[in-house]
Amino acid sequence: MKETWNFFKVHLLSDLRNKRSIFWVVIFPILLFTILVLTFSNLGVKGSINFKIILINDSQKANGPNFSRELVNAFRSLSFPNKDAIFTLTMMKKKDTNAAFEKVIYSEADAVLIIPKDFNSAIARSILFSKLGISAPLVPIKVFYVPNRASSNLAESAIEGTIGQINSYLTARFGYTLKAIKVKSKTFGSIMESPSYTNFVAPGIMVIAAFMTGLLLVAPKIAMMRRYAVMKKYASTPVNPYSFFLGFTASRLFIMIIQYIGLALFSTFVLGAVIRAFSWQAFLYYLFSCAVYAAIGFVVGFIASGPTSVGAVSSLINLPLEFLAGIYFPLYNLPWYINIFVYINPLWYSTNALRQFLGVAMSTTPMWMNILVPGIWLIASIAFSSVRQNLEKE
Amino acid sequence: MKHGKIQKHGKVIEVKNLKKFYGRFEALKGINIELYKGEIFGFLGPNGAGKTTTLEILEGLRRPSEGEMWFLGEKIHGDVPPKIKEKIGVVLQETRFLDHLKVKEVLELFASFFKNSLGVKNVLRTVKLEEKENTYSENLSGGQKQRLAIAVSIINDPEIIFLDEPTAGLDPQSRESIWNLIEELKSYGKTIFLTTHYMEEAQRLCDRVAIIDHGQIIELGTPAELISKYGGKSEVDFECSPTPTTVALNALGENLIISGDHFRIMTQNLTKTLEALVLWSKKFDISLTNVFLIEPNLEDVFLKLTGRGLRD
Repeated sequence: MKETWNFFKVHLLSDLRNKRSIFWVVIFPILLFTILVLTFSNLGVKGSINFKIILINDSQKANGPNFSRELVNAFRSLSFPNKDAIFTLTMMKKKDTNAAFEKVIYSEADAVLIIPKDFNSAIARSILFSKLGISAPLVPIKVFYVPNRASSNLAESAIEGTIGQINSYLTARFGYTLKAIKVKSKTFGSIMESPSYTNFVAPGIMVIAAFMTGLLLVAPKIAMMRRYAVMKKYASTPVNPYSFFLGFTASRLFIMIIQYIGLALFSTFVLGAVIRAFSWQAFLYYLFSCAVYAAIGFVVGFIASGPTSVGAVSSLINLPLEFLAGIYFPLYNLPWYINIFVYINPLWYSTNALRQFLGVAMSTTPMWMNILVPGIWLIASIAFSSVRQNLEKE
Repeated sequence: MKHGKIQKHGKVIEVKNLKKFYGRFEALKGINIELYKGEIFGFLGPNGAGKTTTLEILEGLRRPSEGEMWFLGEKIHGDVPPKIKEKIGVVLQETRFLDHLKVKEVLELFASFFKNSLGVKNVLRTVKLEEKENTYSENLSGGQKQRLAIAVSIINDPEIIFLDEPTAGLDPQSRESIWNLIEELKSYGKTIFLTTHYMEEAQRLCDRVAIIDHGQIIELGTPAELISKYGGKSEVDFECSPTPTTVALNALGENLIISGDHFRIMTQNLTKTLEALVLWSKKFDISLTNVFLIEPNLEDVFLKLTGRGLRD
């Protein structure tokens, strides 16, 4: 225990005295966070946008006016290829509802609009009741969307606006008061009312900070200790090798925890993010992610032939993993061969899970996957490092 | 140079038929070594001969494939156990410590690994680094770094110290200071296992040397024994003026080699040859210039035994 503590202490001390380390693991994530928020917080609000929506018309024909057809026509008139179209409309059948939802979840569409089975009769009933002066229940139309995704969020607003226009038409035609149709939204991946880019990017920045610590404070040190025989030097003493790995890893985790607290405070009090930074679930999951990224750092340290080649190996994995994690922007319409990298990318799962635990958005991947995939990385990395370490002793 | 046989006080390390395979490659083909208390044992060999493999097995850094080892009378089964590691000190090639750690912090860390510690101040005094205790290890000079590495290796007051090329890459002054330090450690009764590429280092420091090549020890003995056995003849090189006559040259005997203005006499007895040469110059009224005496050394032994230079 004493040896573990000593390893923890010296490795922590060595990094805290290193200005370069401090910059990359403490200052840089905060700078990156600030720059991203300042640059992209208004993204998706301005300019002309075309939303991809899926319309499922489940309504049955009624004896009276076919309101659902009017509704569909209204959306068609606002859709591509018409001039100034704001929608790209895809019609799908009721049986394909789940497929439609998946398209929204995986960013192939922005929202799904479902006209319910009894829509026509319900509208007719509502108009009749209205004429008789009896209060009638509002007719629901369901809109499914992903609020934390800017395009999906805006698509939902555009649908709501369109339905408002249709209400005006109904009022003019049937002389009946507004709000005959109510938009009932069900959300995917959101528990927030007003998503912002600051909230959206905060969990990813925390993941990046931990990942960078793995790459910058684990990998080069392991490579340096291998190259200059520091690990051999430890091995020539009676010290238990596990003490070293435990103390060294604990010192890295300690730095990652400091990063988490620093970024949570900075994002909340300086950038005004609304996150549940001190939820125990978020913290435990973050610790799990830190262990994963420290283990990946060990792998890079064992792969690299020396401290100088660590930079090259790190860059090779850093950029693709970061940009294919949906940290900075949601991932849209990626080709299948790129999606393969997304699905095996631990940063993607960590970011998704942290978004949920921090109260930013529901994870777009199941929570068991968010534990399983990074967990596989963790186990594989530990196994690889142990084998390499033992091979070097053989 | 050390002469004569060393007094054998008791075996500190004994290795029998040590073998090491890397796949099908047999790096060590049955090494037999005995180290005695208080001696400096030199282990010489060209690159790839098996020096470092042998050393790392003895240090507990690699596992032998076959063979038996005894440390301080105790038979080692598999890995070198912690209680033996308590009694050994190791200086590896190119040791570097963590950056941004002070010299005393490095020593405190290593001291904490052992039950027995000489104390940071004592060790710093021994290696003459007292004034550098608060200096970051990366800011030390090459010689100081090596002294720190030696300080780390003796922090536990070991009985056996392994030094792997302790003066490689150092300037002559630093090398001299490390040699003095090694001699001081020997004077404290430490047993030292030394590998080196410098034959003058081996000749100056070692009581016995083993020469390893292709994974086998091809010769073992005191430097004097090996030089006398394999070193060949000494040489007297000189120039002279005026140019000697044929009569004068014939007087120098059959061992004379002439190349232009340069003369070389091969001899088994350097002193006698030198005396004779002085008498010859007086007799024939010839002035001797640029006289060099060249004695055989371990490099010659090495060349003869391995067909390669010590640093090849």
